[in-house]
Amino acid sequence: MFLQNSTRIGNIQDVYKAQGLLMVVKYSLPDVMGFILKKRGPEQAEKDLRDIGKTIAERILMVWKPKSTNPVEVLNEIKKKFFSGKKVRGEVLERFGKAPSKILIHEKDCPVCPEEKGEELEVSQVHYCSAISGFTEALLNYLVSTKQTLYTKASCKTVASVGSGDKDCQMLIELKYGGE
Amino acid sequence: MVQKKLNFFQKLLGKLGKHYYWSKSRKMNLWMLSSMAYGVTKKYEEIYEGDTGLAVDTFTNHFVNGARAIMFEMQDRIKLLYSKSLKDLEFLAQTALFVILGPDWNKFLSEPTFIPAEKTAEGIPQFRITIPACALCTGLRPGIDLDITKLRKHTYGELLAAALASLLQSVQDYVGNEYSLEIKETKCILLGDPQGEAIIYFYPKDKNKPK
Repeated sequence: MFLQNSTRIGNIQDVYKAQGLLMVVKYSLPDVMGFILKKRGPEQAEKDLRDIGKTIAERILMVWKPKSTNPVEVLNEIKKKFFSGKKVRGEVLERFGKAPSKILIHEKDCPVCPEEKGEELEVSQVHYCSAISGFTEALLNYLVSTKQTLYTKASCKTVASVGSGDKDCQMLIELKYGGE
Repeated sequence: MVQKKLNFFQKLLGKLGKHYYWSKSRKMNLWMLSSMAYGVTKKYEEIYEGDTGLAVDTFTNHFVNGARAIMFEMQDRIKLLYSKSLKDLEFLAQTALFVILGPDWNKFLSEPTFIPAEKTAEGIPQFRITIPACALCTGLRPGIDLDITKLRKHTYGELLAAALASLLQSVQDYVGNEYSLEIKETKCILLGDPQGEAIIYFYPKDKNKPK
């Protein structure tokens, strides 16, 4: 048995080309959410979910990079490539010059949140799909780090979540430009 | 009434049904699914202050609970494929794996094989699943991304086989077969084996399990 090996196991491309049932995630998450909430409390749980999203993004970037730098288009690329479902809609709330600096993402078909009413978290302080904001933030800041974007920093925050009792899922994206 | 054995038409229905179900269901990228499992496991590891084994065991239980919930929801449709025959579980397991992973399922798991009690050293019926490519372990650097020396009851890639064992247990309970199923991963790619292998043991419920 080797205890440490820097060679990655298997062929990532084989897994990347394959698919699985989305239901597997939707049905496993309630236990995961319940566990994290119980162990950490609502405030830390929200941070933990964002961390999970960031870890996922690191692994996704091993095989895939977004083509666009526009946050709304990046999200729709992710939806198309990794999940099935409807596109997200972006609403520009503020601009820095002509460039969007605050965008509200409306998600009507969240790949993470429960589809049926009555399956929401009892603790509404935690946004069920917060992992997606951690994931998106990591991807956008990867684009920043590779100097592909006009914006110099991206911050994402889930502000509404179907799984926490809201009508739809919403994520606020803030983009900073230069020395702003 | 539960049948002793599946007939030709039930198997045909199962074969058609799995293709229909897969074509209509919402799917996701398997690398994303694998990355989610890894992200959650690493967070559990942090919560358990570096206890990788406890993190893996806890997540395996959560995943299996999720799989049970799926089965519960699908029970009305799949119980047409239930029979008392243990041999028929091969067909049922293949159908279930197709439903979860689609037509490419056997790139990751070989066809599950039932081994009757008389052909096993322990005298216990077994179900063997080999894993030529583990969707969960792929991409990991043993000892770097996951400390394999700290694993306890479950190995990291055991999730799917454990979920399958849970399905087979629910079938046994439904058809009235008195078995208590237990899974053991006997080979693991992450631990250095060329391919993974999991064995599901069918212990009689009323008898003590051999040690």
